Formats: sequence, C-alpha cells, structure tokens
Amino acid sequence: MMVGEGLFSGIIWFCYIYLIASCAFLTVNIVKQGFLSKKEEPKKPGA
Amino acid sequence: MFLISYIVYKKVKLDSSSFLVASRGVPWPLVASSIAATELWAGSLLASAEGVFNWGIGGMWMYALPTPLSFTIFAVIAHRTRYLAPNGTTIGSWVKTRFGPSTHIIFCVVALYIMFVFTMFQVIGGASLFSGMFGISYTAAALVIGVVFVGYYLVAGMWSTLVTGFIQYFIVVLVLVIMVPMIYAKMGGVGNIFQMVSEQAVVHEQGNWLNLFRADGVINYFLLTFGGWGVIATMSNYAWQRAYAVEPKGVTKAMLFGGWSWMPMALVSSSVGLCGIALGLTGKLAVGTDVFPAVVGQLLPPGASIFLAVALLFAIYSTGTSYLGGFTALLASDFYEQYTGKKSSLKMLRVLSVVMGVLVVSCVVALQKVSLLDFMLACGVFIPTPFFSIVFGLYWKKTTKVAANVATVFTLAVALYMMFLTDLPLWITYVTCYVLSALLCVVISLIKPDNFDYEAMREKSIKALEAEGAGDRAAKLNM
Repeated sequence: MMVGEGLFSGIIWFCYIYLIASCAFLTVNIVKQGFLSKKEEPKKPGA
Repeated sequence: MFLISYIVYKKVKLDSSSFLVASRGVPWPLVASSIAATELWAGSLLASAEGVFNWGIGGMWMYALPTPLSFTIFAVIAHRTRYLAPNGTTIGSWVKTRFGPSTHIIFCVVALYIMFVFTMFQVIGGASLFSGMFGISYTAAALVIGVVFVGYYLVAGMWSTLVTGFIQYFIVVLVLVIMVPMIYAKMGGVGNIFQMVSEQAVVHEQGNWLNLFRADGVINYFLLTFGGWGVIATMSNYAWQRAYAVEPKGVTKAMLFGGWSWMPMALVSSSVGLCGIALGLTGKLAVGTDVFPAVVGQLLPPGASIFLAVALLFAIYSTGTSYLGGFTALLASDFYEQYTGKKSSLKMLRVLSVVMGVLVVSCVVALQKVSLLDFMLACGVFIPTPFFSIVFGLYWKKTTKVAANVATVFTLAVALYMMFLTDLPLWITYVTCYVLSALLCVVISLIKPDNFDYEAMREKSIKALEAEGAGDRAAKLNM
C-alpha cells in the first residue's frame, strides 16, 4: 500500500502521540499506586 | 541509579526471595515500565532506525510489532503459570513438577544461554557505541558498563531493576519526545520530510520506500524479526521473574502494557530512519546502524549527541541489570536450590551476581568487538524451539516429558544444522522450528499420553508458598 502525504504525516504523529500517551498513562498509574508493594492483606482472626 | 537503589533498599525488607522476585505484590504499572525499559536497549533505538533506513516506512511496524506480540502471548502464559505455580521464581519453577528433572535441565540450560548472550549484548553494544562516540577504549567502556549495572543491582536486586527501570524508561521517552520533533522541525516539518523521501525514492529507484506493506520486506525483514523475537518474552527469564513479582491481579496488565508501551519508543526512533533517507544518506554510511547518530549529528547542535548518549546508556543499563537478574535467578533458583535442596542466602545471590558480571565482561573483552548480528542470529534459533513444549505443558494434560524433550532438543539440532550448514533463508529456519516442535510435541504425546493433574500442582505450590510465610498474599488472591 503506497503512502500519500496525509497518511505519512498521520503515521508519524500517531507514533509520537502514542509515545506520550503510553508514558503518561504508566507514570500516572505508578504515582497513583505507589512504587513499592501493595500492603499485605491483614491476617484473618484465628488464621 | 546507585542512590535510587539505596533509597529503595532502605524502604523494603530485603531477603533472598525479594532479591529475586521483589515481594510478589509489585504494582503492575511499575512492572510494565520495567518491561518497556528492559526491551529497549541500545540496539532498539539504533536498529529500528536502521530498519526504516533499509526498508522504508514499512520497516516501522515490521521492527516494532514482534515484541508487543510476544508480550501479548506471554500475558496469557504468565497468567496461567502464576495460577498454577504461585510460588515460582523463574521459567523453570513449574517445569520440574510438570515434566521432571530432565526437561527442567534442558529448559533451564536453553534459558541460561539466552540470558547470558543477552547480557553480553548489552555490554558489547554499549562498549562499541561509547568507544566509537567518545574515543575511549573498548575494554574500558565494557568494564565501566559492567561495573555500573552489576553495582546497583547488588544494592536491592529485583527492586533496583524495577524502580530504576521506570526512571530509565521515563528519561528515554523524554529524550525522544524532545529530540525527534527537533529533527522534524529542522527538516521543515513532516510534510517536507515526505517530499524529500519521495524525491530520494525516485533518485535511488526505491519506490517501495513509501510502501507500507512491501512483500519483500514482509518476507526478508518482518518474518525474520517475528520468527526470531515473536516469542522472546516466553524465553526471557527476566519476564518470568516479573510475572512472579507483580501483584497477582495485575499479571496480564503488566505484560500487555509493558510490551505495548515499548512499541512507540521503537516507532518514534525508527522515524529517524526516514529522516536519514530524506537527507540522502543512502549509500553514504559505513553501516545502516549509524543512521540515528548521523541524523542527530547533521541536524542538531553538537550537545544533542550527549542526550542521545544518555538515552542509549540508560537503555543499556536497564536491560543489562534485568538480564543479569534473570541469569542469577536461574542459577540460584533452578540449579542450586532445586538440586541441593538448600535455600540460597542473600549474600550468596550477591556473590553470584558479581561472578556472573565478571564472567560476562570477561567474555566481552576476550571476544573484542564480536559481531552483534552473528550473536543475535546464533541466539535466535534457541528462542522458538522450546516454545510449544512450554505452551502444551501448561495447557494440555496429555503432553509428556519425552515429547517436550524430543521436541526441544531435536528441533534445536535441526535448526542449528539449517542455520550453519545450509544456505536456506533464516526465516525458513524459524518457521521450521515452530512447525516441527509443535508437531513433535503433539504426535509423541498422543502415542503414550500423560494425564497430568494441574490442580494438584497448584495445591502443592500454594503449600510451598505458605511454608515460606507468604501464603496469605499471592496464592490466595483471586486472579
């Protein structure tokens, strides 16, 4: 499939936006969930 | 990196288990960013641009697609493995229970070879690059790179690689986000790049440079990258470690987002290859790998090369530490612990990491500038051969030990014969590996089928986890 100017620009900018979006998504989720482990679940009484 | 590792070390409770698989409760986004950082090594930035420089715009997806696909496949496998063997540490954790010692040793030896060669890739790639860029000796560059990534891995093991992996991922993305649009702007914008590529395509009679799905590229480039690396995640012990380190509910998400977050970094850096074509660098470079540094050198101020060097260095460090961790974990968990019955201590793991680091750097220095391509090709056939034995072993109760062993060893022998003693294109060797190993595994298993009890394996694994004192966490959470 030959690429015209519009599709060419679309591909280049899609890749760039995809890069920013994926990094932002992971960063926001890391900040929200924290760097270190989730706390262990408290032991049930009598367990 | 050392400082970050030290801060992490102060915050976590470190023992031999957390040194290898953190706490089995790491948030999935951190694991995903670590996977993206690990998959991105110096070769990814440079080779992705080279692929486009050689194959035109179609080279963008041809290079970038196999890795996320491999993590999509592994997301399914990792979820299943974490369910069946929640106390696992490495690729071999469930194999001994499922098939017995002979298959376990075969799988672990193959995985060990892949981990060792991949750790060497990082040192070879880094040393070649920095000795070329800054004129320092290859041996000195190899030593410095080896000392740094072994050094900060020793501080907090898997925790070091996870947290620094995110920092490295973030910085590489930042460098690309700033540097690549600067290149586009210097060339007069994306529309102008298109015009320049079109003109060069006419000059060099390469109309296919603007063909997104050129047939020769699909056969000679995509099938090669996909055949060799399409299941790389399943054969990388670092990925298995992360499958066991991540919080149980986040196994699939970590693998999927890890692979698919790596993809845009490869895509954006590969677009620099188009700039190389547009600038008329075709035929003017000693090797296509140089296209990224050449474009940066030609268009951006001299200081910009430093940013590229930083991105490359961070890419090498994150990958090198992860693979070193994968290598050490295999030796400690699958050989020492499995066959002596003793638990490895934290001190022993650190000593093992140093020994492995010294071994890797010594091999790199002894071989002196060995061809990366030759190494990659030699490693490539080891990746597809055990794949179907792993898949069938996890999902099909009839799969037998003999089938898994024969499928792996015989296919590997055939693949090595085809690669070194015939002139067949490499993609045919890869396709043969997949088809032959799958066929052997099914046919031999059907001759005298096994009747494996997966739930019994899970119960045994949960009991082992409880004996370690971590039962109320990973095993009992619903996945």
